[in-house]
Amino acid sequence: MNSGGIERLSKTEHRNVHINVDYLKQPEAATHVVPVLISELLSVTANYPTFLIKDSETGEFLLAALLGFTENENLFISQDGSWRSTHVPLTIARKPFHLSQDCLDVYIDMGNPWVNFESGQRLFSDNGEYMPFMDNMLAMLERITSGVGETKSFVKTLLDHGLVKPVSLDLTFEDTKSRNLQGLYNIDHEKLTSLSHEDLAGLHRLGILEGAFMVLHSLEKMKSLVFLKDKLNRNFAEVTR
Amino acid sequence: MKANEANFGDSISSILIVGGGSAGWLTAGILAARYGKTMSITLVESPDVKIIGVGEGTWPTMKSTLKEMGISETDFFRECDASFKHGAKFAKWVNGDETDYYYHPLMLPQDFTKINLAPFWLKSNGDRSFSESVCFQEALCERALAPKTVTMPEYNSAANYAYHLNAGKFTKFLTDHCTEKLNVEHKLATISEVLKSEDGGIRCVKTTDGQQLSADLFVDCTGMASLLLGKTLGVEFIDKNDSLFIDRALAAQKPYESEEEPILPYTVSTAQKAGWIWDIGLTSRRGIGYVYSSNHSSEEEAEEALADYIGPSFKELSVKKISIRSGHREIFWKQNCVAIGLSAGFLEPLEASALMLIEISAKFVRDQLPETRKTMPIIARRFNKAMTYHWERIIDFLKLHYVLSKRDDTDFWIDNRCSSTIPESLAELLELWKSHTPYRQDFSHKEEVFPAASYQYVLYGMGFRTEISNRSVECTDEAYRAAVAENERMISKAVELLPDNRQLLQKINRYGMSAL
Ligand SMILES: Cc1cc2nc3c(=O)[nH]c(=O)nc-3n(C[C@H](O)[C@H](O)[C@H](O)COP(=O)(O)OP(=O)(O)OC[C@H]3O[C@@H](n4cnc5c(N)ncnc54)[C@H](O)[C@@H]3O)c2cc1C
Repeated sequence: MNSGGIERLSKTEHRNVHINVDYLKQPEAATHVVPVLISELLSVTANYPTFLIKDSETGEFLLAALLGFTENENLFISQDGSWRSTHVPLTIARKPFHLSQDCLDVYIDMGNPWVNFESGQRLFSDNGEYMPFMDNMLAMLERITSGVGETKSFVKTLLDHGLVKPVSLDLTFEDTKSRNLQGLYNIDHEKLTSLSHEDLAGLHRLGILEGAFMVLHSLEKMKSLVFLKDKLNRNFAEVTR
Repeated sequence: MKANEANFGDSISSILIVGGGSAGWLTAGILAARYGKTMSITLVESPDVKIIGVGEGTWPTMKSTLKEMGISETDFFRECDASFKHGAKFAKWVNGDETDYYYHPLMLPQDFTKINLAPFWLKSNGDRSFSESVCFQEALCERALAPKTVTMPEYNSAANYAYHLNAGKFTKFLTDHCTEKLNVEHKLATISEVLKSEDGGIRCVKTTDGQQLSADLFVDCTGMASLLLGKTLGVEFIDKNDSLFIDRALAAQKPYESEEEPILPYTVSTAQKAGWIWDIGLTSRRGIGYVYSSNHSSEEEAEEALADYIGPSFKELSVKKISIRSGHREIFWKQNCVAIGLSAGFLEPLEASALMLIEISAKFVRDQLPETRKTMPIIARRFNKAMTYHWERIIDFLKLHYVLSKRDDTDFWIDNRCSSTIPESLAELLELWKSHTPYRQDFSHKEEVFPAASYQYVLYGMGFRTEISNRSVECTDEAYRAAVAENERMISKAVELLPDNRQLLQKINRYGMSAL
């Protein structure tokens, strides 16, 4: 049905478009890591273990939330296609929209599986005004656009201060399978706490200190993620038994 | 002896490096990374005498050399047009046919430290080349793949690698790093006179602008001039032209045909009628040159051969002509003067060993830097012994390529196999290898510049036959098959994982690599 490509959103062309949010059907949600932005960091770190990872295309560091343990395993998608937590990372939640470079135009990916003409959220009311769903969406898109640069400089400042270190995590699951996670980087707590007063004050002024501690403390969420995986495994075992 | 005699005025606290080519600046960087804060290190170079400006293929040793100097590998790649090198491909060395080639990769054969695969490979009589059977790097070369992915940290990789670099930019890059980060003092001045001290060492150097520079230790990096060690201290040059005939070079730089032309991650050396042509891919251009024997070819013939290799664009390129003399000084460290680089000697660049020898020499000086003038002669003797050994082994290894050739199309190749031109040490090894494959015990040094593995790659790459008796086989066929299968597995894994060399270099230039 949706063979279309990226189109500039217009209330005439897209009057009847609906967005049917179903995470099972969103290819980009089928991932175990998702890039996140500094502007959503509090919600993200309250829900997911958050790390720095390297972009596989460019090798550059990104801020990312961990959603699962193996390639494409997203433990936060329920069987009914809903999201299992209060905050959906913005780069997934914004689907299928994005803003132009200059932020003036909204684009929609008509090829995205959520786009249809029958069910879900409407974009425009009958008289061509944005529905609340779309108002929300626009606010989100703006947060993303402004957050990208801010996130980059957050990451760069951490690197420049030598505050990033690789972490190797050995996890044990209920089914006794253990797993070693590679390719994750975290804040170097020791380095952070041994910074000079001036450096600390500088990072604090930039709001980076707060972010660094959020990321650091989100490691505690690893336990919840293991717990979730174990629970899902148990359910699965019960179903198959 | 008075108690304080050994300390005062006798301790080594200043170093003057004379010459600012690759040798001068590598030495400066290597020494200053260790002593920049505790000693005075000065480099003086002539603004008028140009550096040789060739020498663009390195060994993997360059990675640790740069890293130890505190250099960001990303900066190095960006500023020196650097590219990756998996090893060397030798074309037309055996019989000159179009299909005649073999590789000398940088990595050891599979499981080399545990088992010697060469006897098994020889017995198996398979149709795959030695290097292809035992090392996964040849497959990467043939596909022009990089040795790492973009997410791997600086200096880390899936396959061992060396660099191709722009020699002119490299010295400039090292100059900036050494002066800005490592506390090296830089003077631009031409030395007009070198004054000797009473004990037969160097007292000071005088510059044309009237300065007089002295130091406790002088490092002669003046290139072929060998101003301090050769000219002033009169250390003799030992000519090796009777074994290694090459004495001329024609060097050119060729732009890529397009943005899509692969950047080959290895040096190509293609044998010619009177020598061979090197082909070194950088990110910005290829460096191509013909080194030949003037006894076996005229300059016109040599130019023709180079033009043939380069193709129609040759007309537009400028060609640099260099005379070279194969050989080395009788000793390299005399009194308070040590020569590093072309001032110590030169051998044809077939295995890109010159920069490596500069690194080894400078690291020796760094690690064994005498505390006082009293210990200097002891350390000088050790240095001379070690370096003489290295030069001799390099000569053997270079000559090996010629001795194993079966080409008989020109006198150059025929003369090269004449037994009077083959060093005794090499002749002995070749006799040994008729019935033994080169392996660990064949060499005496802890740090061999060419390990037995290198000899295996060249010998068996060039079709040398070692007759294997059943007795000499150390392990089982299963172990051999397992190693070859493991190599197969590595090939498929690496080919899947590793990106195109040009693509990765573009990404490095664009995004950089992380130190983590
Ligand atoms: C054709 C060819 C190909 C090569 N290919 C390779 C290769 O692939 N790999 C490799 O490792 N090596 C290679 N080499 C060798 C390599 O180029 C040299 O070993 C390297 O460049 C070191 O040179 P250098 O610094 O000793 O001398 P130079 O570059 O000649 O520098 C000499 C320095 O001394 C200074 N100087 C001289 N006289 C005076 C004076 N009177 N006063 C003040 N300063 C003075 C000059 O100003 C200059 O700075 C090759 C060499 C040749 C000829």
